Amino acid sequence: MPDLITRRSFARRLGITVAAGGAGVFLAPALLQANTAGVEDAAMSATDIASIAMYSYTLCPMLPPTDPHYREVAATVSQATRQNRATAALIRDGLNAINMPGKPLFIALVPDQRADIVRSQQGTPLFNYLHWLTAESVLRDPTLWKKIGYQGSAIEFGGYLNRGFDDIDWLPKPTLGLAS
Amino acid sequence: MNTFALEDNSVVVVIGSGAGGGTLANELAQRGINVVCLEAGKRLAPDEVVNDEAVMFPRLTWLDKRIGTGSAGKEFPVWTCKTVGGTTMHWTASCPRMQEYELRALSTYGPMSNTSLVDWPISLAELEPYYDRAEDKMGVTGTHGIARLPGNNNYQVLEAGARAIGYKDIDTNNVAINSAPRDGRPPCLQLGFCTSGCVVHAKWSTLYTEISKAEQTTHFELRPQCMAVNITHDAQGRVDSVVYRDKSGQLLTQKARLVCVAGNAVETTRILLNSKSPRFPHGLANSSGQVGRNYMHHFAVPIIGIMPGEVNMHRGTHQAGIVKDERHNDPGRGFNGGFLFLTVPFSPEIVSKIVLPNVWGERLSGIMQQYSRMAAMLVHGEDLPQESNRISLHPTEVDQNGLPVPVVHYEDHPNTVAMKAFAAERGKAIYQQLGASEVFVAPDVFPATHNMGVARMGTDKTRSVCNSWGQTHDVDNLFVSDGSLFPTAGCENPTLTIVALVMRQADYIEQQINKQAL
Repeated sequence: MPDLITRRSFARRLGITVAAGGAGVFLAPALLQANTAGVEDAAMSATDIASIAMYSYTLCPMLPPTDPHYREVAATVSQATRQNRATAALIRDGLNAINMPGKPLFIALVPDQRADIVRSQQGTPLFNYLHWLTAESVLRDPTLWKKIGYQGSAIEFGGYLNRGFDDIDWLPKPTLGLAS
Repeated sequence: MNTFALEDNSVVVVIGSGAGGGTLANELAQRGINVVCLEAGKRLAPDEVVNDEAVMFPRLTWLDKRIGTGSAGKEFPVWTCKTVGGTTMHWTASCPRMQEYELRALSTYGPMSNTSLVDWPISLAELEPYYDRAEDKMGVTGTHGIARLPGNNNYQVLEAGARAIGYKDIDTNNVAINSAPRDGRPPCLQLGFCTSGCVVHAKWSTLYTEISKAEQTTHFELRPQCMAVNITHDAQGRVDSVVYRDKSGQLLTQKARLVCVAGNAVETTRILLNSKSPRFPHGLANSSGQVGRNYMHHFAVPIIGIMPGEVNMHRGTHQAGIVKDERHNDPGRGFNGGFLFLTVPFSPEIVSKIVLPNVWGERLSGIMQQYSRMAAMLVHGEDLPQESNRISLHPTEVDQNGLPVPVVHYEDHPNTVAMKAFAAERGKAIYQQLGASEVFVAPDVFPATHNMGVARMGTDKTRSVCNSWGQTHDVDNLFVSDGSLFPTAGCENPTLTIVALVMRQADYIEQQINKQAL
């Protein structure tokens, strides 16, 4: 696929990466930041959007695959393709890699097959980007927090001072180091 | 509160309102010295500080373009704040003092290749009275009879594990967070969002301590959303004004008798290097060529253990938990300098993004299902000064203010690589000893919030930028008033030392003004 290779080289020349470690803790990677004019021909198809949502689900399958959070990730990606030509090319590269010509669509695969494909994509720009965006969507869901035991803000309840900040029961209580 | 005219050349202009600038401005105002404080960020109203990390990150963080090279993150090479209060809004309020040996790093370690190691030009004995005053000002627990905070769950795990592997110097840390009402502020409620700004103001932040107190005098004016552009000087080479861009984009010039730069390493470097003139062709106070060089941070490696029982690490104060047994110098460990273990909680989102960036699918789900059993810590240790680790200005690229984009270049010294590996193993052992089923060490990608060096103090004018008072060698009415002054980094969180240094600087400025030397 010479076309794919060309685009990848182009992206590399631009030095565009989506290494999560390069971005701030809550800062979306550079892919999100628009720096060129709109890209009319980069619009994502319904299949593209469904593929991204399924990719996001495969990365963090903590909610049902039809959960709106995965579609939210796909919508953010779709928005990014419209904002930046280089971003659009990288996303297209990633989509081409999971939906190869002549092979079944990613969304039509069984979970194990999807996992194999995602494994082959680990470390690529789209993988890193989706890993990041999925965390910012799925792992910000208060209903999910409840399921895994994260309680978020406690100011409404007077803080964790009254909500178990020191209720650990499987360790001996600290005996030293608390004196002023 | 007061307002001062732009042409009023009797004022001291302080650039920055964080630990250094905010404190210095108040110290001077309390002494009757008129101060105009320029702050690039907004002043947040009390209801704009909320317990929501995703909302607070963009409100507090400096997000204008910076470029990282070397191992520094390309798009986010350092973590600093752009808000009134600066990084004291985001900090965890951890206040250990530096140790005597750390202030004599060159004498202690001896010359080390590829470092620019020096001793501090002041001793611990000279700093101690100011540590005392800083701790009293900030209400640091475990000092001056101030009770320590109680140990939360995450602390209790750290303490038990640390004891189990033989550590002894363990406590709930010296934190500038009220354990009882003090200085008009309430005690800590163990909210658990320390780094998002303290909603109840139990944590010391200059926004509602130093700045508020300065505003109660007639000697202080805060100008938020005012970005300093450059500093000008007169024919004698003394600085005489600061040019800045206000929130409407207008360029204004504030006359000054004296200028103190406290922009946190990156912005302090930028304003000095951007203030070129025929007299100072390489930037202000840069005859040594050292401005921007010797940039140091502390590595910050998160470690998470999946413990045998529930921890609920999110409940409570972030860094009210410390193990100091490894902060001594012992070359037998394979490196010079020391490091600390500190508690820190992470939300599920941050666990995934920062600690487990390569974990996904059922494996990620399986780990996240055990969130309530996670305990977490951060290890950070001394970074050695290297001339090649530096902040410089991009030759062509400018930001929205027309200022050259800062470029931050950083590479670990082999000493740091060795220390990090050792520290990670010891950190893992703390949780493993308590029966952790798994322990994860994050890649060292967490950008540092501890930024030091770049305008260091020293006695050798060819190898340092400032004297021991933070007064620049080249311009006697220009001071540096932040962590940029540190000749070496030690391993302790730097804010307490920054506050102590600027309190000492305020004494010096007052004396010099009274002697009409400034």
